[in-house]
Amino acid sequence: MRGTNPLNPQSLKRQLSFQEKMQFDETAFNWQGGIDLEKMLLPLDKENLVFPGASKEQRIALSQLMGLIVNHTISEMEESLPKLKYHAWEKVLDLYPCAPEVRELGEMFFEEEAKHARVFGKYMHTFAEETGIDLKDLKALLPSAYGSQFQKRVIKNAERGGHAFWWVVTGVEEVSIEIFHAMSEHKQEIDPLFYQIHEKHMEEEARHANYAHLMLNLIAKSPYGKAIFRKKDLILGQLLPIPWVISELSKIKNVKQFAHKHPFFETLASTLPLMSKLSSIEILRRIHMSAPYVSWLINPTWRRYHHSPSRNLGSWRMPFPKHDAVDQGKRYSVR
Amino acid sequence: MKLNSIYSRGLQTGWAEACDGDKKKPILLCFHGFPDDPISWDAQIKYFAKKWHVVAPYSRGVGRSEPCSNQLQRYSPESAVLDAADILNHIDPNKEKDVYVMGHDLGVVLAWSWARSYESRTKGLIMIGGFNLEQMCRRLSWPRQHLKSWYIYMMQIPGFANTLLSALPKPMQKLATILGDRPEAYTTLSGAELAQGVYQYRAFSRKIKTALQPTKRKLKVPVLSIWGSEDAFLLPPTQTELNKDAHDVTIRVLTGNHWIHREKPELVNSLIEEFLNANRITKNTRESVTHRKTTNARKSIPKPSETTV
Repeated sequence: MRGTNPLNPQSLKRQLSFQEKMQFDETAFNWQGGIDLEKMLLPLDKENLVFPGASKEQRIALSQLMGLIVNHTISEMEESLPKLKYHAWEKVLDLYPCAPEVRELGEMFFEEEAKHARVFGKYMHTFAEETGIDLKDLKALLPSAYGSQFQKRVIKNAERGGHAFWWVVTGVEEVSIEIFHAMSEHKQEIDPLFYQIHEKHMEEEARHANYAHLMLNLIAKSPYGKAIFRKKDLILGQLLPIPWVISELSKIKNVKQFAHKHPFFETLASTLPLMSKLSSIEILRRIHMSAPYVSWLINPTWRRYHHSPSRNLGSWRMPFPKHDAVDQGKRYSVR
Repeated sequence: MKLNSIYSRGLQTGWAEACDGDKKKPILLCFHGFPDDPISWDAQIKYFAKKWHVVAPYSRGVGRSEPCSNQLQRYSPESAVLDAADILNHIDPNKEKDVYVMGHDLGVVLAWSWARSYESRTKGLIMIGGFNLEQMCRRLSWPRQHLKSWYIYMMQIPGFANTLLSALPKPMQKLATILGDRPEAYTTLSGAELAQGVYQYRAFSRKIKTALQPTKRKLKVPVLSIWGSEDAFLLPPTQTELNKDAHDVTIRVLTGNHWIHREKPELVNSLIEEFLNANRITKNTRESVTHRKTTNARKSIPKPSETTV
């Protein structure tokens, strides 16, 4: 994916007008239709990498939890964007104000991200209402970015003039798009409302990924800013999410304390013994190398679109262990 | 395009002028830089002559503008502004036309000085690859800018730069082409004309003390700043930098060199036109403003029967 050239006024104007035309309205979803609780939210891998031997009911519960985790992860990350707006965005534009359209596109980017966070949050509330689950209990299992070391490190990097934020954004946007591609192959098995939300989200994320690449292009072209950040921020952006994702995923172990409260939690709690069939090292290895959705986020070898901007910026790159499928140029596989 | 000249405060002052058809159009005043002349605005003059009355003065000592090296003051921004004012008084004696001013390189210093001096008459300011003196002086604390502006220091050495430029005009202009990627020579100044540019730099540097004083007020005139990303002589502006001197600033950086208006004339012309059209006061808007002012003025005058003794 290549970002728009920030020094090309015509392509910026085209992108701006296209984006204005194609924005989705958050009230346009079929909220009244509710959620089909018999269906999956995210298709799972056939091999049951982390939960070997899971039954059909367990797989549906895991899939629904996974879907909520993905929603909440994206929502949390997108909700924390406004905190970074000044340091990661306004300061960059102030140093190298190449075109007013870049600022307008950026304002749109932040507004739309806030809109995504609201839509995903609303889905979670709807899920809790329809299943009768206490929202507080559900949130205890879901990732939280607010106040995390991950968020603090990204903010600190931005305050010092770094750009790890934009590398994180490109990663999240790219994975969001690939999540939808995985879903699109199993549309009939997925809750229609969840599918609809992710479809619209994917369309806007494609444009947002473009904007993140545009910002990285701008930073590469800017005569200002410290060279050290251009060198190291790619690695920082790749490494920072890893401990956060793993620690937040491990919250699934908390489900035991809610098992008596709702059948959904009970089913999830019944999958924990399946995980214990694997050693911790093996679980980490599988999560890192080939677990759908998760490995895409924490293993940069799955992401193809970092190469070009990293070359432009002269960024240092760290070798990460690769899955064979990456070498074969395969897309992310689910089942 | 026509070339004209008048006597401005005792010295012949020349300019290039172009206006297709109706001469009632607003004026687009273009100040060239160094080592250039008004022909450097060729692409802009041809394009804008249809809807604007384009006027491009020669800097002191270049072309039709008589040199005056024994009076450094005649090379200062204030003097250039007075010369331009004399030109416009000749073209528009009733001062009916609005003025939009544009500058490139050193010409930006002159354009900015014009906008400050005639703020009420100036409706827009376009800066291409240049700064006003205040901005340049603030950059005295920027090491990278010092490195790029090495030639300015060379020009302050009395006799050195003048001799070099007079004796070797073609190699010196070729140097500008090599260093700054100047587009193919569209004009070649003589050695004597090149040497005149040195006096401009010296006259400007004598204004540093004034320029370093805190700016009292920001320019209210809308400003458009256009830059080439590969400018070999100047670092592009930051938003904070320009916001110190003007209220309404739009910055555009394009892929290109210091002579971006020559390198990409169509693109630059379209951006300038967009800016001019956005800030153009037409006859209709002028009439409505005048009507509003007149109506308000009438309201404030009491009727004779209402006055009290």
